Amino acid sequence: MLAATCALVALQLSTGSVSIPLASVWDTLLLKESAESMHMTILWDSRVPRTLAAILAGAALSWSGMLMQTLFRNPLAGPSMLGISSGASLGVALLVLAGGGATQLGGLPGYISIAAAAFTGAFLLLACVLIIANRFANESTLLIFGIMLTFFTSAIVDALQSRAGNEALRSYVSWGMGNFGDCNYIELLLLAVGLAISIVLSLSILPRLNVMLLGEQYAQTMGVDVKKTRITMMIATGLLAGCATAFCGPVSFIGLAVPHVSRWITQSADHKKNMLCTLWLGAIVALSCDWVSRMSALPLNTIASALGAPFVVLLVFKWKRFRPLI
Amino acid sequence: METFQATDMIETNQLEARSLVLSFPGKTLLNAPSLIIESGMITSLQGRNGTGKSTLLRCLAGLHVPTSGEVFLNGRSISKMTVLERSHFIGALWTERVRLPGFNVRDLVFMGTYNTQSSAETIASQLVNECIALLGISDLADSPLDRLSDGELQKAMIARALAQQPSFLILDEPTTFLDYVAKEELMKTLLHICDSRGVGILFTSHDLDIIGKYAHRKLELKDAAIAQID
Repeated sequence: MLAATCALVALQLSTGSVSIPLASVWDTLLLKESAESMHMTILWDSRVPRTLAAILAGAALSWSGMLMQTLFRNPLAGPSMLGISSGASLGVALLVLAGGGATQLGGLPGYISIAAAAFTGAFLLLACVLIIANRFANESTLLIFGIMLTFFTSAIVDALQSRAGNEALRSYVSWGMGNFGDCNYIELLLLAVGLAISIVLSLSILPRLNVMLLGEQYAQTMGVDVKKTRITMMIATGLLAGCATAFCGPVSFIGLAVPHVSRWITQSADHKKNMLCTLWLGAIVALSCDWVSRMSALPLNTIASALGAPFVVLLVFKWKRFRPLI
Repeated sequence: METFQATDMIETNQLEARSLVLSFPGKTLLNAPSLIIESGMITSLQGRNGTGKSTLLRCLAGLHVPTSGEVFLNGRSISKMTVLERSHFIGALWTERVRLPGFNVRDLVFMGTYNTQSSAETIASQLVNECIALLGISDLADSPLDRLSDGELQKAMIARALAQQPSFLILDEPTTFLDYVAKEELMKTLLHICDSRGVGILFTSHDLDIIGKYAHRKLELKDAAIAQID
């Protein structure tokens, strides 16, 4: 896995519309005198942040998928449950579409406005779900509520889309296709902080996560405070998926598929064994998808689903031992 | 080294329900019966479907708050205990079957040691092995849960509950779906746990043969009241 990561990072940094030999990549990264200024610009302004964004967002989405699948005890759950992605979409839609193509909020530059709108939307919807979760302590109720919320928000987004102008529509659709290339260093820092906080939160409840898979009745008789654990899980997921969606758009496939592949690699559903593997694998998958997306000039979500879905199907049919392990 | 604490403590523990009332709109499941379950004994609870046996068990385990009345553990109200504290007294088997293919028997039983978080990994794994051996499923320790038969799964789940080192085991229909031999085996194991560890066991069943053979004390839930059968 380490080798794969290094190879992908090297590939990501050296190839593109201008290819840079690995030796110069190295020189540029080490800020050597001999580095060309054009390479300096390409690497530091575009490829390095892009690579970091893919690594961070890939890891964040995958782990949030894992937490969601455990929370709902459902192998089909992903970060798009709980209304996080749809909340983000709604926020962006309201800004871009209802704002008549304005991608600016106050005096802020466009990309920050979009991220802020996405983040606010995601957290407002997550707050709704948290309130419901606090009242009805049942995972099916929560799942139904999350899905209904998704339908409802997508209805609003559809309504906004049908009335929006061409340019606004275009900028909304392009956000919706997912992109690791629009992050600047401030956003990367926020993404990294979100990921770090969520990892700390997850580590604090790590011994409980396996027990949660046995369901509420068992978890409670085994000494786990189910409500508290659930809310911690939701906050961690909200941060992970919220940050990733705000800065990179709604990238859905990675969060759903990576946890399954991770469990297949470790041949276990144990969260302790899977945490590092899921985070790492998420980064690798995101890097690969982003590289193919760049090379083929197709949107990230298209690549992730077009390559990822057949891969998972192949796993299921080719290796009989592959089965959802939860 | 013996990791099991219940063995050397011969003190009797008491799980007591005082005038429990459980009513839903249009139906009263329990009308203020009181009962005391003691450690070192197997108590059976029988009754027709829908009489509220499972709900009573859930109340005793603290999962369901009764309409009125209270449940006490050694004189302390369980409503004033945290879930973690309760888990040291009560281990449970519910009717929901959990067959997670991503865990083996050892992983499952290890989950039971969650309530002794502070203890070292080696002590925990020793406790896990002990519980697995006590249930007679040591040869299955590395089998994934979805490869177990119903009887084996029940034993694994009970080993998991024992790993909590509880004073009481509350078992909701432990022998349902098991064949005759598996039933006998499971009940003999429970009797052994009860005798050797001093654990108090309360189980529900519709199998009068099993109840007659293994229960020290037989209770019946009928018309919202609990009666002792002789």
